[in-house]
Amino acid sequence: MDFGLSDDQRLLQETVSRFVADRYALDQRKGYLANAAGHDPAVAAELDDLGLSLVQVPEDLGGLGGDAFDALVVGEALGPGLVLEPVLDAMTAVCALGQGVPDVVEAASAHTLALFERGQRHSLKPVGCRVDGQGHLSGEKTLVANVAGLTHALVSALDEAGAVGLYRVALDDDGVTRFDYPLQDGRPFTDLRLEAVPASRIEGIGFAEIEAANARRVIAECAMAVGIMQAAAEMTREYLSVRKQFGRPLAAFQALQFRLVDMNMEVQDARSMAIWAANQANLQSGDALLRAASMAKAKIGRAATLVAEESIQLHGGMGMTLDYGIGAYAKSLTTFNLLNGDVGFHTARVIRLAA
Amino acid sequence: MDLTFSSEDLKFRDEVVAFCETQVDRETREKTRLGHRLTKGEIVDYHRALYARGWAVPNWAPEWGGLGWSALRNQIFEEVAAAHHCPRRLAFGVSMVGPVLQAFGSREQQERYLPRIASIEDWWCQGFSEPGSGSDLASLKTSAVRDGDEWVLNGHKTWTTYAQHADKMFILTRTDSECKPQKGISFMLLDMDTPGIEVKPIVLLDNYHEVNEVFFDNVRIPAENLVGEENKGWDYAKFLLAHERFGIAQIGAAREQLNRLKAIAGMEQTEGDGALINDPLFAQQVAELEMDLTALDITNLRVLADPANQADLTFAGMLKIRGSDLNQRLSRLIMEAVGPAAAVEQQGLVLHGRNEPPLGPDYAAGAAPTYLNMRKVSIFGGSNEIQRTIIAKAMLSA
Repeated sequence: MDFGLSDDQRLLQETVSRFVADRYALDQRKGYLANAAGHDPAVAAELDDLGLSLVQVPEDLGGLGGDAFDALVVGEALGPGLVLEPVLDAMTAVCALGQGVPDVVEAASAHTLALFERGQRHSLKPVGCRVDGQGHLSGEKTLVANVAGLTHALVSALDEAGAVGLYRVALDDDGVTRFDYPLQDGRPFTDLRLEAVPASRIEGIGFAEIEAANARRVIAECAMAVGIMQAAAEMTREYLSVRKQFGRPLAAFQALQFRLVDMNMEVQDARSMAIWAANQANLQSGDALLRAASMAKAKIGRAATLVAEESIQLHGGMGMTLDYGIGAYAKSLTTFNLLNGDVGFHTARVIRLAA
Repeated sequence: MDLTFSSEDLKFRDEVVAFCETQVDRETREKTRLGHRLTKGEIVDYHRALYARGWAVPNWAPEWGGLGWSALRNQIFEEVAAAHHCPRRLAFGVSMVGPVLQAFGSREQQERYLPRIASIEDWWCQGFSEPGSGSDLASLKTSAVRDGDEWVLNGHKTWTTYAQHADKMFILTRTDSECKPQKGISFMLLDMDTPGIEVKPIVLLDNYHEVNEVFFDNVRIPAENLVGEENKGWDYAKFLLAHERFGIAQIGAAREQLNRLKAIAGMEQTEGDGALINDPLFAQQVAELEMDLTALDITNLRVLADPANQADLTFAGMLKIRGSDLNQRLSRLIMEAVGPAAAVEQQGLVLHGRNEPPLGPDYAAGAAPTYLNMRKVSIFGGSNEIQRTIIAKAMLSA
């Protein structure tokens, strides 16, 4: 058994970490959020140039042939930057779902995932999106990542027979209307209204394939949450060491020491869970894969809540301000928990798919 | 023991219900229900309605318009007002500086300030915390130096709630730095339009401008704005904080939020169990909150009904800790009940009257901002860590 990184993985980690350090310091990120697009397209292009979307693509399709451990490395390294672009989507679900379509794989980061519908909470089952006999897709999707450079969406919808399929639609089609907004953590997202939009079905992709690809996305998002938690815990440790009250650093108060320790244990447990889940993603499919993703998201989600709330509390009033960095981490962890299945949703699935 | 309300109490409850339904602006209540922010005018109008009803300052001395409400009556008012989505009463004038002036102020200060607090002609803010003096408030550095008939203030206060709306500030200043920190603090009053005051906004996690930094650069205030005796300010501040017991547990707000949680969880449909409220995992969390609230409600009434418990610092701290924890957990569970739609930052879109339907149901927009804003209640007014320290001291010194 070996928890160490391969040379390739270490290179991957260094590449992403250097990008985050150079381009995604929290102050830089604040500047990107102020742009009209809600991020910085030039920085997004630099990120794209790192080629992360090809990490898990098989070598014979022009990718790097990596696995979920590589996704783990990337997710964890992206975390401290609270990167605004949906690079994990491209790396995991988009590539998995589009594997048979060169146009998708070669330009994965130009594709956004449109899998959720309003009023359906965390369910992946399309209800309102339908494709007619002429191959035109109509309906609405919500919580779709929305950055510059996107050309297409992969949209789940029901066909005339009522079966779930995945369709590729061009975002510049006249039948596409966007309603843009930021998420609580600042990331630019949108709702899509699709009116008789020409849609090409991606062959071989049904509901089971969508669920499996989404599970791999969830596992990568868990790794990113671990990276965020590590950064939040470190920032809190630093604050306790520097901030003085009653003539000594806060770190000298045992009650606060214990809470820092508890936070650190949560982060380490969460990291272990992310490693376990990545291993499961390499080994499992079907219900076993879904259950592994749910165990990871539920366990890491609980840790995320604790770290977000405790890191604010331990920062006192500073933790409440929008400008100080800990708030950005806390809001990202809160958003992580709200999207793509919350702790309750995934805990229920762990029970339902009991091993 | 008798835990029932008297017929007078029930009659009073009906009066409060009638007031809330007929005298409090409907739109203000709707905004409060949805967790949207109120304008200064809406907050002032609510206090004017209270004033018109004679309920602006129920706990003051009769001489200044007080009504001698029992603790229970306060509790009834708070619960009914919260259930009807009335705004929270501003504490700074009515519950903080008002009682201090009645206990320690000069006759002239009382006559000058108290009526204008009751009628909300003056909006007060609190100048206590400083960047280096939060939990350790006694280390505060903002100084006041006597110069003839005036005090000259220099320094920097922070976390000043609604300083941008305030006409007056009550402030703790350092008037003696040679002695033990607590012994060199004075309690003063100042006009916010005095030259040399600069108010800078601090935006909180919910993207809202609620608190401020306030800078003092050679701000000159009249000598008569000192309250009580020089260097006795710490005692007055302790009196002020001890006076703010009523409603500290926020039981009424918690009960309203619990009802709101149940309503939302009854509307949200899940994949498996129909309404979210029927999901056993979620229902368990709601039930646990209801049990905790029921116990805290009775603890709160035990404190309100018994002067001995009111003087007991272990109870005051407990109400603050338990009440803030309960309200924070409620805000988190409401956000989870709303679900993914709560992840959308749409407060601004709704408030700025954007001509688009809000995303998801009307209760979605306020959920995450409220959750984020509620993180403050375990930090301000003596953090829950400070409260635990106070309780431990009280328990162990007995």
